[in-house]
Amino acid sequence: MNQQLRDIMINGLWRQDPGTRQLLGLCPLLAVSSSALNALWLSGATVLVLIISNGLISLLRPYIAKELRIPFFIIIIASSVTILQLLLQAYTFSLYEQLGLFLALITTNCTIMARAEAFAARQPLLPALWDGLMQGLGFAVILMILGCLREFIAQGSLFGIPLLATYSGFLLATLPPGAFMLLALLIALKNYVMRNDTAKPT
Amino acid sequence: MTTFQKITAFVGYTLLIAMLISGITYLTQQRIVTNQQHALQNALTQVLPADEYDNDITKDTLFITSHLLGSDQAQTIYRARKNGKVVAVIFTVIAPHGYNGAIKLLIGVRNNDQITGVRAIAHQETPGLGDKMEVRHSDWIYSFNNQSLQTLAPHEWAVKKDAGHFDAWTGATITPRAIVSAIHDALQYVAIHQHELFGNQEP
Repeated sequence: MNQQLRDIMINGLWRQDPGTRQLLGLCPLLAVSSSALNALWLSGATVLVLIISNGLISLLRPYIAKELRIPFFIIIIASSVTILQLLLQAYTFSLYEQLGLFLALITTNCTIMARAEAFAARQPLLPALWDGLMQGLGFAVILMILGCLREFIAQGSLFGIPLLATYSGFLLATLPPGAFMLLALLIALKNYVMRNDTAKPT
Repeated sequence: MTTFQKITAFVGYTLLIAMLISGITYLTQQRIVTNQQHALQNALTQVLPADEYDNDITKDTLFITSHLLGSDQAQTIYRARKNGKVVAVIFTVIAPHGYNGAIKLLIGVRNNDQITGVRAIAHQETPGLGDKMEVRHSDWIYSFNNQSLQTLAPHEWAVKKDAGHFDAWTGATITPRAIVSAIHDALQYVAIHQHELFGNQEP
């Protein structure tokens, strides 16, 4: 693997992951992480949208006037989400019903906009697609950790399967304040682990 | 590029993308409608067993607006017939005063005013505390089965905490209260409009 692709991978998954380092996409991250299953579905959908939007923007980049790029990104992102929504509704309806409103929330994920502006708009297709995948997975990892933690703490279960026989539940974890607190702990942990990492953000 | 060219190109791309979305909408439309009808059929079967009627219930509808149904928007009423006779109706009722906004319920009522079943189809109540009306969390919602204005007196249409018939949930009284009162209102609506709902005119 060449140096650039390896850097993109390390940035997306660890050094500059959207959830705990760039603090982007907090709206869907906090709203959808109430259970492990929700987190899993949203992770998949977000990765897909990131790859599609990064790919399209990188391909069309020579043909977009610089001044008009932001509205253009918005159109691309909103269209990708709409298309995904239509396809899910047509071919996996029960999944669509579970995701419900959350799917539209992907549009509000700033990570997608940020990757379009900071990366895809200046890079050829392959690195742009790879960056979409890696940033998407980086977001997915944090989303899954938060989803599993919140479900386990709140209900003593994972993916709806009870793991603790007698657990009275700790409601706070599924409520929004619980989401903020757990995310704060994750960010603090990551900052601590990375306290000696002085590499400049890219 | 001149400004004019830039804008023309931008509008052009936008149109292209709009066409792409229209194309996909066109291709998926039929499947989506079929899926939605399946989902509706499933939901209806939950509150009224399919062997109780023999018509295509999703097409035999009335549209009715009443404050007793909790919304100022028209609600669809599905009529279940056996041998042409209306045996039950199914409709949505909104319980406007849940703990966290409106709770949308689907309710089935037989032509003798008895409830065939109730299901919550949309709500934003607190997970783990105010969501015991969902069948996957508790059997509570089944306690409405076969109840009617005849089986319970008006003051019994309340939670036990308010000296009524229905269980309240630990830590959450507002939600069951809202649901019980919405269902009571719905039964009153059916009682008042008996003729309109169960009259035998064809759709």
